[in-house]
Amino acid sequence: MADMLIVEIQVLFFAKARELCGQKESHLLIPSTVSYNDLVDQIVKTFSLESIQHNLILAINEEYATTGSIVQLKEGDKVAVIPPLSGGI
Amino acid sequence: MNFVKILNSKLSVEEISNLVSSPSCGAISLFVGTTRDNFENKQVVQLEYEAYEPMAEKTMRKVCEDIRRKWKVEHIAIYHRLGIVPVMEASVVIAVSSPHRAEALQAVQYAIDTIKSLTPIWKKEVYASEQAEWKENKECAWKTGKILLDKIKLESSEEVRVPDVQEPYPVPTEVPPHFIQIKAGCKEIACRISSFIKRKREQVNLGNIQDFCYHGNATASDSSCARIDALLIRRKDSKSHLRVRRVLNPWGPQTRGIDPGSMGCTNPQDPVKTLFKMNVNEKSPNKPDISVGMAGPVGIEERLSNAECHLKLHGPVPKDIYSRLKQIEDRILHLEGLSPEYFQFWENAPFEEESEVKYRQTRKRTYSTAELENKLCDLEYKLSVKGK
Repeated sequence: MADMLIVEIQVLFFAKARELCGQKESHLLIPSTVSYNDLVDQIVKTFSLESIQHNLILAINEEYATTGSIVQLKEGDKVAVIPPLSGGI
Repeated sequence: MNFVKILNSKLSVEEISNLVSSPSCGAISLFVGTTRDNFENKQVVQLEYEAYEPMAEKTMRKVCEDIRRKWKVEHIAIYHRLGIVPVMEASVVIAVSSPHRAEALQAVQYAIDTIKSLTPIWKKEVYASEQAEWKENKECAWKTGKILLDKIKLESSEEVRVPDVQEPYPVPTEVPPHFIQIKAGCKEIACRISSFIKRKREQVNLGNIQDFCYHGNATASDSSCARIDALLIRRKDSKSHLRVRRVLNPWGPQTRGIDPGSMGCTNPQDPVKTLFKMNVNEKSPNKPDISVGMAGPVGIEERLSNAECHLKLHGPVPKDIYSRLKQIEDRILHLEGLSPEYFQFWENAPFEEESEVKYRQTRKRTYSTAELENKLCDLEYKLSVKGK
């Protein structure tokens, strides 16, 4: 595990997530290969999003991530925390 | 063209509608989502929208592509407003133009459903009495993807009401899974229904084109008008384009050359017999029945064949007695029409045939079939009495 690459990703917050952590975006150091669930856990813990932990999804570089998958990240990737959507009307 | 925009200013429905208008289009379908001043009896003071803009725009563009894959449309405009939206103003406007209305209507429906379920846009409602809250769309794709039961609840996806998500999935959770027969998502069901409708419409359309606008080898064009293009292609046995099925009933009186209405026939099983009986009875009710078969009563066969021979009617004779008489009559009429002098010639000459001789004086009278029948019967009766 020593040679595991650590990358810095950009984390974006919206709606309730933004209000909870009090910022629009932040940065996070994370292993480049990480499971989706670990990534969520890491973000929730770092940015104190526990109250919506089970009610969010991540979008990686503007694409919805698949829950339970293994995620490959590179330096500067954008990970957005997406609470339940309410666009439209 | 696709017009996708996320704006912080008021949306102009008219401008957006103008964007998609096109001379080649017969339909513009417009959806305007407006904000309401209440939610569950709570007074809504203000609404605020927020978006992950680059991703939202990307998603909306993807919706446009999906629409183009599914339907033949001309222009698509999807405008979403962000920031504070006063009550009654438009938060989203979708406009689609297409040559025919069905596509535009379906595309707009699809667009708003998909936008609600996939586009990363959030709405916050600020209430007069309570704390503001972030809404959640019932359609939100990844939420529904997590919970199957929730998916099934969603069948009325066209419902415009913003759902209440605060209630944590109430009654339906108690439904045992084996009672649930439809497990496809609401989108899948909606898609199947719409493609079924589409297929049926195409079928009907094609049928109409074939019935009314089929010009031989000419290929069907998009712009056709039934009123102008309609050609009457008669189907077999029919006076119109409608198919007619005829049943040949060999037992019915009409197929046996007898019209029961005009002949006063009451017994379709054996019209000849009935007829004879009736005619005879009319004249003298007490006289006995003449027994007749389809071959004709005694003597008639001979007379008929004589007449046929005389008129040079060779070839097969119809079994039915009335058909034979008709044939004779037709022949006479034919000959008469051919050369009127033929009959004048015969007028003075004695006839070999008994019946003809008898009626020679009244030759120029025109007899109806019934009259002829009566006379024949009369004669026949006399003959049979003589025979006894």
